[in-house]
Amino acid sequence: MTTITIDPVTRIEGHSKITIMLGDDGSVQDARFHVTQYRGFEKFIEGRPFYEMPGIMGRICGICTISHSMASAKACDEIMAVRIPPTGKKLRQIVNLGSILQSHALSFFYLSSPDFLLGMESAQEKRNIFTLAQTHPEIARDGVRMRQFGQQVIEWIAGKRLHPDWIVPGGAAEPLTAEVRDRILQAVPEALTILTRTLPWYKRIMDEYAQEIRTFGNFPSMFMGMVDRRGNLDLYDGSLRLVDERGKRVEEGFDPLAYADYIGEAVEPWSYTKFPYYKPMGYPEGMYRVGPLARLNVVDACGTPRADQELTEFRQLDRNVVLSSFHFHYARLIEMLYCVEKIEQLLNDPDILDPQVRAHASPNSREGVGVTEAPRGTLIHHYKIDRQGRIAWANMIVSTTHNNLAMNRAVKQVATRYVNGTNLTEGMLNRVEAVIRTFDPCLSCSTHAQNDLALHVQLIDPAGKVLDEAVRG
Amino acid sequence: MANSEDFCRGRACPTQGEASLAPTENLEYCSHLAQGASGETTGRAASCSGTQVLVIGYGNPLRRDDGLGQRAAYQLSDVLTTEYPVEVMFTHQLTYDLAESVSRVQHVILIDAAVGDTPGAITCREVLPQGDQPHTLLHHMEAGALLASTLVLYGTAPHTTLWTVVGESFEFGEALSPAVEQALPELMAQIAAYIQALCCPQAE
Repeated sequence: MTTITIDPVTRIEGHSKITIMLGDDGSVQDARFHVTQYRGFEKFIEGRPFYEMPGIMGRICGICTISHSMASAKACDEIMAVRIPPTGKKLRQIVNLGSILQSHALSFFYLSSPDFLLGMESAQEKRNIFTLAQTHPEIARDGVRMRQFGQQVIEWIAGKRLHPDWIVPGGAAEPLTAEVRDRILQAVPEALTILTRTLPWYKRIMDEYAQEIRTFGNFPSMFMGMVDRRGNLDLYDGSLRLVDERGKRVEEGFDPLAYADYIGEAVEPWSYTKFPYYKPMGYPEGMYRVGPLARLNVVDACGTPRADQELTEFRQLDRNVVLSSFHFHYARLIEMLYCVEKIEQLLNDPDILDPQVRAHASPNSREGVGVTEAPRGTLIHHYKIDRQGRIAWANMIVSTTHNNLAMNRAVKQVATRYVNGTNLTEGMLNRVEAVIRTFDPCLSCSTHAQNDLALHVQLIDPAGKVLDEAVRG
Repeated sequence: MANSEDFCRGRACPTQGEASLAPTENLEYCSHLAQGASGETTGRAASCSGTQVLVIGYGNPLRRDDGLGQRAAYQLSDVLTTEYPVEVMFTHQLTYDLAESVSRVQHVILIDAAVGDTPGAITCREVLPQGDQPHTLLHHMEAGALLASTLVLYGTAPHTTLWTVVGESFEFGEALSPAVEQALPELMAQIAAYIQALCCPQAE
């Protein structure tokens, strides 16, 4: 058997590698997406006071910092057994939406649009946002502006765009000022304008990628995401709904606090990332996907006018649910539109300037689970504390982890379609990486890698001899 | 943190524009830069209300002296923003996203820690847009690359100076080393004088 290794995968957050196993005839036998980092956060927080968790957990990642702090704070709310003030909840929602917005802008404009606009066959060293700035400066500028808008929402409300200490157990550290509210509202029209011109543009170029749409993680699976009481998209709080590949509801909406009853975590010896699955169906049959594509597949509606218009059109792509992982990109754009609309709605709430934004309490429960929707999908933090309020045990299922089974399957699908075992081509390598990029995995959520991003691919014959090799970096 | 060797390697770094001088000489040098810069970028004598300055302090405040940039920027924001048309930003590292903010001003002042032999030494140098942009992105960006990106995206690259203080300790911790702590007031004074020279040259 011959093995091709892509190590690490580029233009994703974090460090991973891909191995593709070929048979003697050069056909793909299997493919694996390995996460080669180790996180360790669950262990080294043991013994720390629970109220430190939002601050510590935010450090897991520089992109998803808000998501981790948010899920962590929600777990702490449970430990304190408090109901946070309504305005505190709304402010948390706005900051969470800003976080999702900036992350989606990063993924779509910076990391993935070079694939669409410069072509899958183009040279890797040229296929990046800097080249895009020269060839399509208007798209690059829109990307910069959208990411900036999301970051400004975070910075203006929470004080800092990275690792703010504003998200606290019981609510938020500071209320919103009228000046900040008005400043964000003034920026909303421009953000809507950018998205209103980006969506039609993306839909046009999507036609050029029919083959990739057919083969990029296009397979039946379940999808999971959070919905509110009416079944609408909710990125902060709600119940978790699962649908199958035909759109049939497998779970109408279970309480996220009971996640362990529904989600199992399998382990494979070749990856540091676990393999979550839907328990009633077992492993690996219980594979499901999370994130923007999954969320749009499970909701009844987005709940904001423009995003709902786009959702209607999005659903025409497939008969029941949209299966191709290539459409994560499209779903990301629709969610960005939703985020801007929802931020505007929440900021116009008459109570949004209420100074009561935090509940105070000592621990009233020895256990807490916090679940929220992060940019890449459902994020779960689960803590147990000792009598002194120190963390005794912790478990996290980060968004990217939920997609682990599906990402592995997607890599195999693309490799089977594009990899020719006799030589390595730029287009082949690019597509194997690009399918991973559709999921926008954030492996930094698993660890803090120090590695420079680079690519190392080897084609090895059954005797272990290196037949072909490519290094990027 | 800035490393002057790394910073200039393979790029059009103006060696004559670098200064690693005693405080007084450094101030004179940067005042010279300020006078030249205000004339070059505005084409007229800058007035106290006309020149827009962006200060970006960057580094990791949890790695002792690497937090110098953010610390200095915070302190400057307290004393300068009401007096001059100065916007102050704090960030862990320079990123592509800053290009839009950079494009909107006439002058950018970057503050960072540096690696060097003399802890506490203050350096000021002009930064030029440099052509080689990294093809891996997001986690690290040189000042010259930020300016080059700004130039490509927005057609302008403002006059930019990078102010550094050589650090002594980059270990885990929030406190600056004694040498850097001691240099901080001098750095602030120099930057304040520089901004004054940029914004109100007639007051010199």
